[in-house]
Amino acid sequence: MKRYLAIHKVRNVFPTQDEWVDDWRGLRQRSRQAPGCAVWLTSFYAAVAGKLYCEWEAESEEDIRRCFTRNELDMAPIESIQEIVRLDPSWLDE
Amino acid sequence: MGYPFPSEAWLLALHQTLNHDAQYARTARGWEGDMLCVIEAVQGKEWLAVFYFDLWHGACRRVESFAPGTTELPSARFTLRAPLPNFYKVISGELDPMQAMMTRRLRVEGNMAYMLRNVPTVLDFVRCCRAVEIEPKLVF
Repeated sequence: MKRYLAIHKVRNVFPTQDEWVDDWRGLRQRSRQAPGCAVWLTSFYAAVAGKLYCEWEAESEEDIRRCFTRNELDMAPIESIQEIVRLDPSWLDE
Repeated sequence: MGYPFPSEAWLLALHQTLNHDAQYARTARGWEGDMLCVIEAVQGKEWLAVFYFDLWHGACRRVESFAPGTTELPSARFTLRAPLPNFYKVISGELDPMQAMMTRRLRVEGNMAYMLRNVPTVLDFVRCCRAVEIEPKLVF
């Protein structure tokens, strides 16, 4: 499996906590059940820039895109998905 | 000096902290909205304390504490509800506030979009909460 960084521009946010949490839980479940089995690993939210940086594990970029509903993509369209490698600076301490 | 949590003394100490913290004043300069924190004994059950904060443009204009038995609480732009252990974990640094919201350990009533647009203010408010020492420490 490859690692990817998906960058979203957050245009809209669900107005209630329940809608937000339920949608994200749904996305996580959908991604696990999708044919390519993409795994949403973690996210970083930059509130000032209104961007969401999400780390995924998947076979392909397309497997990640397939996980999202149209509504999710309207609210937070994907600006880019790029294959990445994780570099851990703590290795420098060894 | 530490203050029991939850108590009016802790709330008043936080009021002072918020209004003497230059970073909070700067970060929260755009924030407009009051907030109720409902500290429950058990999730969804009777509450132990309710704290009211009138937060406006980087200042805390007023706080008020409500004891159990109070029948009428003010309405606020945001209401945060959680059992005591969850509130305590957030303000003692054990639980990240955003993680607490995402997992519903901290329940939010109010416009989530406004809250998420102002994450830096939310985090800085919690930083000020953490600056007020709690004594005695609670163990859950």
